[in-house]
Amino acid sequence: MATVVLKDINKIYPNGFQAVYDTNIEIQDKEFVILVGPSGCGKSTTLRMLAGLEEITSGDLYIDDKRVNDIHPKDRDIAMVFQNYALYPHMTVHDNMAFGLKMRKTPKDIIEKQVKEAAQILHIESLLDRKPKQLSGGQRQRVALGRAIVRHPKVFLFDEPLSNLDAKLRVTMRAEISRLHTKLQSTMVYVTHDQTEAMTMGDRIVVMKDGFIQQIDTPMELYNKPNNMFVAGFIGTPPMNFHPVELSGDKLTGPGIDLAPTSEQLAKLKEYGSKNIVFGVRPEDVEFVENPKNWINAVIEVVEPLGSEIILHVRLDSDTNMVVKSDPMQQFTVNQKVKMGVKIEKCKFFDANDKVDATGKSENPCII
Amino acid sequence: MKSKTNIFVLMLLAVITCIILFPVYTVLLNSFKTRSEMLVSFLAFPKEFTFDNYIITIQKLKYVSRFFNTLIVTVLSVTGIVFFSALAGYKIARTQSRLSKVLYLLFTLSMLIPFHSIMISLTQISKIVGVRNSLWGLSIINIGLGVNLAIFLFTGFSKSIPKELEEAAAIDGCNEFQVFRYIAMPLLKPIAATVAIIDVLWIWNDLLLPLLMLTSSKDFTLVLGINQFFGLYNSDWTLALAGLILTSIPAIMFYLVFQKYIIKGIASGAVKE
Ligand SMILES: Nc1ncnc2c1ncn2[C@@H]1O[C@H](COP(=O)(O)OP(=O)(O)OP(=O)(O)O)[C@@H](O)[C@H]1O
Ligand SMILES: [Mg+2]
Repeated sequence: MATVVLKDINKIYPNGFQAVYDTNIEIQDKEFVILVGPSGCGKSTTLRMLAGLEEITSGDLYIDDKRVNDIHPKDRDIAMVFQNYALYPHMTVHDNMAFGLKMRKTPKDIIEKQVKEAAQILHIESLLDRKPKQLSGGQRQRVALGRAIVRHPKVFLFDEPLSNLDAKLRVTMRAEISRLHTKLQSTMVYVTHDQTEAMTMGDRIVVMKDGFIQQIDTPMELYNKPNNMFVAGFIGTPPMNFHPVELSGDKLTGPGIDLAPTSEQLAKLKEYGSKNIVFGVRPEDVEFVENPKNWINAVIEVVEPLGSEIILHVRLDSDTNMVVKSDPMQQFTVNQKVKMGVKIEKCKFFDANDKVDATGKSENPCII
Repeated sequence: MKSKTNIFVLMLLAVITCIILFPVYTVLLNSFKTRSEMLVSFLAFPKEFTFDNYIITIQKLKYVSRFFNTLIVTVLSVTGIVFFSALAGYKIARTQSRLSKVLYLLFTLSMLIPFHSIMISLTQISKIVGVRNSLWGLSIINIGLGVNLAIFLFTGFSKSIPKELEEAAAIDGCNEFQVFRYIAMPLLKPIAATVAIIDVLWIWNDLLLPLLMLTSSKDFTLVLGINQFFGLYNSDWTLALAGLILTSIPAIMFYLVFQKYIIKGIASGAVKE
């Protein structure tokens, strides 16, 4: 139904603060795109520019190949779900959902039909006569979703819609929004700072930091091929472990670390030329096996059994720490000395030089 | 301990209520007495209740026509005050410019100017611009005098309306005026009711401004009519008191009906607490 294209978009607030830099995103029809990043990175600003609630300082925004920079929100045919729901407190649930249709002079019988349909999808038929303040947080969230879907807009925008819900409800609603996307088959842009939400819901994820896009990719690509250290550290829980190492001969050495990279990795590292390297290993890329090829010696400090897996906080020979995962069958005790096998082929290597170039993107780029 | 303070507070309130109600009580009491009886025993209960004062007052005061005069002035003025102040206050609250700050300051500062210091020039100017001697002219001046407090209240209250509501409305298809009409105004209702009550009581009972503005007896408001009972040589006290009671009844009724619209926190539930 709709494509959304952001071209070289910048946002400078009236106070002179630049919140978004040279943003280029091409969102396909029916795609579920997630904007993710730490607090203050410009996610909401970007979304609000899409909605028309915030002026675009420079660049072009196209919805369905039509430039919409100067088009009022009401004429963009979008719907937005706000973090704090923003339900009209003086209207019933029914009227909240019908309001957008009424404003568009939709005939009454069609309004009723569409409100009923949306209420059915979201299981809020029994709440239609209530006012927002008579609803629980989760119910309000559903109504806010209902208000959005009732109009069948071209594009849905979500700004952290689940962050006010408790953890359990968040998981339910997460699946519900995913189902909604499958059902409605419309373009959706979803803002969150929660990488789990991003990974589980998105077709593609836009990772942002300090107003710059770090990477746009599918969840698995982001996980397997991060552009830089920030993306590698942001995607995945617990986050990737980083350790400064040096390339000496065919070995990577650092405090408590002595590893032999694969020949492919070695070639890339040598080609790159930088001696100072950051070595990154995900908690799940460590294994406890007999006679590992590559290993790190460590002492266990904290054991967190989660049932399906065990999280271990370990100290390396020096005073560097790591967080690793193990399968739940193994036994661990605090202060136990372990030899952790490292799946070296899965590890990532980054340039330790964290200077930001003009594009703001090449901060600790991933070498391999 | 707690009940002791409660009793103390209750007694204090009772005393204050008595002090406040005492004049009202004497007005009510004496409005049922004959003139001579009132002069003899002001505080005593009437020997026999007489409704003569009321009957005579209704005729002499031209109660019906002056009731409608007062009603016209009050309705015009209060509608004007609420309408213009709501628009102005909302816009001031939503505009981040220097001009809006200056305007807000001017409106609020004007509350500090006592009416008596401007009443002579106001009378002169109203004569020049031709709004003296008419009910609508009086209403216009009432609006001018009333908007400052109302704008102050509307501005403050508008700021408490979550911005997201208006953004949601814009996305739902409202232009700026429709956002005001369908979202802001309904949420401003409690403050509109407050403003209306304050201003109805003020305008309904106002003496000084109508006295300055209305010279023809056919335009008189109720309070102005009662004022006529006090002549240079003799005063019809009992008639005046009955007139006062008759004048206050509509205002009190209005208050009783509308006070319930002053509800706090109606915006709760719109956004997360
Ligand atoms: N109206 C404004 N004027 C000036 N600066 C602003 C304004 N709104 C936001 N900013 C700044 O722009 C930056 C990006 O803000 P934005 O709201 O887009 O962040 P975000 O990524 O949505 O963060 P969060 O996860 O906390 O919601 C922040 O540093 C913020 O302080
Ligand atoms: Mg945000």
